[in-house]
Amino acid sequence: MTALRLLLSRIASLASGRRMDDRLDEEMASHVEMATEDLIARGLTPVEARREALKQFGGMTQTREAHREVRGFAVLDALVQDLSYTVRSYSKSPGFTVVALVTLSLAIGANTAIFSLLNALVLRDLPVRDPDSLVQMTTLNRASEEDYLTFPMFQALAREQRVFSSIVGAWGNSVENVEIDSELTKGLVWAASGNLYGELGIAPAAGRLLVPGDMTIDPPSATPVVVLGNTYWQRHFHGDPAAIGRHVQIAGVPYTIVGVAPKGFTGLGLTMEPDLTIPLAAVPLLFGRPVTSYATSGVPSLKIVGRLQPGVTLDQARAHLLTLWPAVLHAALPPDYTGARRDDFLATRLSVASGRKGFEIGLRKRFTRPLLIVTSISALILLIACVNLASLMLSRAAARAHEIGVRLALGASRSRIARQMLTEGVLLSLAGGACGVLLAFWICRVMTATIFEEYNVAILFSGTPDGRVVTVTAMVAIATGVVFSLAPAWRAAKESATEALQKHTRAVSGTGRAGRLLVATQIALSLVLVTNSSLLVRSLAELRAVETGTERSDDVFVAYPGEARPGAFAKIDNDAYYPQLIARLESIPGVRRASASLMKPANDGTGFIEVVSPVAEPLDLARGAESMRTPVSPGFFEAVGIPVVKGRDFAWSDSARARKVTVISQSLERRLFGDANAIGRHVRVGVQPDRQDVEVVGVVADARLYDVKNPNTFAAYMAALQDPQVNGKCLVVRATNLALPLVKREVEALGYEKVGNMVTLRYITDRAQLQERMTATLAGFFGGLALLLSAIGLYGLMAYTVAQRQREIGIRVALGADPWRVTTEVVRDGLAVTGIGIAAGGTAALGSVQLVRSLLFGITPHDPLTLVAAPASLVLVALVACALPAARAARTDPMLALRAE
Amino acid sequence: MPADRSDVFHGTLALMILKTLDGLGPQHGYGIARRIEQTSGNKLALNQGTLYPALLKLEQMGWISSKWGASDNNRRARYYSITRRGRTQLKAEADNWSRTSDIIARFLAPTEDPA
Repeated sequence: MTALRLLLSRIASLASGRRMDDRLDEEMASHVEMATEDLIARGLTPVEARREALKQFGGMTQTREAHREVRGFAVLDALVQDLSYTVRSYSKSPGFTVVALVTLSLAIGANTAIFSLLNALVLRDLPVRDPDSLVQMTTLNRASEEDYLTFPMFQALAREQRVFSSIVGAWGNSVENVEIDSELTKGLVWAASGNLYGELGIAPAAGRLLVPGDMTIDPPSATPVVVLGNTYWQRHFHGDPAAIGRHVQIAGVPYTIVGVAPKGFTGLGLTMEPDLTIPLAAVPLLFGRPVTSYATSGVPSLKIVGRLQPGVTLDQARAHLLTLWPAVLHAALPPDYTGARRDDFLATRLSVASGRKGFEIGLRKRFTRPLLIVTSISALILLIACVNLASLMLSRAAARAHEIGVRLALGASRSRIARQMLTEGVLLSLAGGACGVLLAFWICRVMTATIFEEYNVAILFSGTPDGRVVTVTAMVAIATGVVFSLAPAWRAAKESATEALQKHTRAVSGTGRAGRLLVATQIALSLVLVTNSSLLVRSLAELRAVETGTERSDDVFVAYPGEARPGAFAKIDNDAYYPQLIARLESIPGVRRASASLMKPANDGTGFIEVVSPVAEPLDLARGAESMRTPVSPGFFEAVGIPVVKGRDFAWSDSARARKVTVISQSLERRLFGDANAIGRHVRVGVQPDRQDVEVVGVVADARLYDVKNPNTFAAYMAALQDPQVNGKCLVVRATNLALPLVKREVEALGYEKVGNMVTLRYITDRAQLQERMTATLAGFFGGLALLLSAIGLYGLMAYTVAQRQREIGIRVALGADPWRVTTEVVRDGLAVTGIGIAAGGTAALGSVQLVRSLLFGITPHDPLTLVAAPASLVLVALVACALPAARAARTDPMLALRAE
Repeated sequence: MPADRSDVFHGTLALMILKTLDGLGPQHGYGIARRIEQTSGNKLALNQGTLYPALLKLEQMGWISSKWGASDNNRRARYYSITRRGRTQLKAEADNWSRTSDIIARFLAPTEDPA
């Protein structure tokens, strides 16, 4: 209370410094005059009286200064002094300064970078009006996989719900053909309900945005209008407002441009700016279907967000929506869903969550947990850096005992010395923090670029530090500085001048206990970190060593073709086209086998999962074998290197008109038919009516084609020509040195398709393991950093100890002690500190590994190799760190050591 | 952290100022200085300038307050007076001081024991 009052009045007087100076001057003047008058009255001459009065008063300047000091100017003055002293003292020990700065920059930079990404991905709110009252709805299927809602569900919810003041829907994004003045371009198309922009408080950059009048939900209808994205507007219309009123064709349908969205608007997500936004009800037009067909759609592709009515909580809204849900499902059931497909649909569950962070299901699912783990690891490294610097600062303070003694003897107060230590620490950590933020910008840019490498659209996701991150970093830096200078400050505060001055000549081990404690703490923390990061690195190695059962060389290429112009696919006769396309590809020199597959191999593991069961048995969805359904063309197995074990590969004769056939994996054969031969048997694949009786014509070896981590190798390959969606395929080609232009030439020569890009299967596999690689790389880096810091800490301690004991060692050597014994003694000393650290950190390390359990693949958290290797690496590092000081101790020249006294 | 040496001095001076203002009522800096010197039987020759930082500190603590006024011969001077909080503080300090001086006096009193 008193301290607060003092502080406040000091701040007040700081602000009124001039006035206070004037007041004091006037008081002093009147004081001296009164004294002079008194003295004159006592019989002195005016001149004598004035001189005597001034003498009694003492120094006017000193009084002014003392007065200012009470007022608080002194705090600033002293700070400036401390700072200049600090800079001088750091420039005198550049080695220490560089080590400390590098340590701090790395630790703070890493923390800032990771926190920035976490902030951007998880913490930051959607930049819209009142994001707190937004609620988002998604669905969960039988396998608890998160998906969006269908249009009829949206209709039913909008009709029945009583908890939202409004409910908005959005669809996409999807890359579509866009024609501007008959020039064909690609555009990222998004669709939004008419009330979306108004509800989110988005203002147009030009013209108008979509309004409720642009569409109706029930029955679905839409006027053909489109809102341009800002970047798209700049790129294709040079930011010209005259674009409004012009027409564009999206997937062959004309739309009128009505306005432009504001810069940086990324819809309900965080990453992608839509190029063109159409009314939600117009989505079926993109697929060549009438708008009215949306009323019976079963495709879950709508992102639905509601705005809570005032006074309604998220929990109340959830409870209300869940009671409505069964009725919504029945209302939304597509009429052609029957049997198992109907049951499957009706088993869909609703998930209700806060909508303030926006929809980034895939991105968050992949990166949130790894980022949290890496955040903890990087926080730990900061703590280790703190302890490391504390021990270095302590040694430094001990080495400066003489200097401190001199300052104390010259009348510096203890608090001033301690404050000096704090100033030094905070200045150092702020400098480190500044470097760290710069480093963080770089790390963030690299990491963001890596995460979004495969997206072919403009990414607005900003993972770089923002105001919040920089503020947090500055606070962390100051706290770091205070924490690691506490030990030396405390030491300085209890220093006595005489002792400190004597210490220069007397070998007293001053920091011994505290220094050891700090280094042991550091080693304990390092053990926790090194154990966890080793586990993550080992886990990645396990993942890479998994036998996938497919070709892993760089000889398998995957190319992604697309429709050459709107409507081109509609003209294709698949049965004639695909044999021709594959033959053309196989005519390219170096190509061994070409094929088509509807599933992109080795993507993030989501795909067509269907329950497969023999036709001979009654259908039971809960007991069937969940298998990956993959439509592929003939030659696919050879192209990716999966051997055909029994029966045959697909043939071009397995066409849309022929009987339905499948090739299953060995494990699925065993599961469905035991030891019996599956060839010629009939199975059901999923719930679609046309796949209820499919003949098994072949059996292939097991392969982890899509998700390396998924041990489930049940697979039912289908004939590509028998799948109505065959045109959405990718091309899988086994070849040596396949060049994209050759593939383009052959595919485009047929006139229906264009080839966008091509990558190797190995590249896709690596991409799929991005989060594991990222986590393991960062964790490995931090683990190495922790080891390095341990080495520095231990080296500092041992070098200091040896320097302190120089005289004692000198005497012993003079008396004939064995230098080897001196060496081992120093090493043993260092190992003792390490041992204490390892013992203390062991339990913590064993407990902490549970946190990374969910990220591990192929090893348990108590992986024996790791649990031995982590402490062993610390011991090794300790040995190296002690070697130099130990060697120096052994070489001590007795004469020099004794003379130094 | 032990108090600064100067703090100890400020402490005694503060006590003297508070006591003076308590006894005398509102008084300007010179008056306080004279009074302290007189009370000490002119044994204490104050560096009168040191009074002003001490007065400011007491004012910051809220133990005294000050305002401009006119002196006996109509000169503008800053008058200090003790506040209610100041009186409480004075009583606590005075008790503390007399206890301390009592103890010190016992230590310094001549003892029978020659050792």
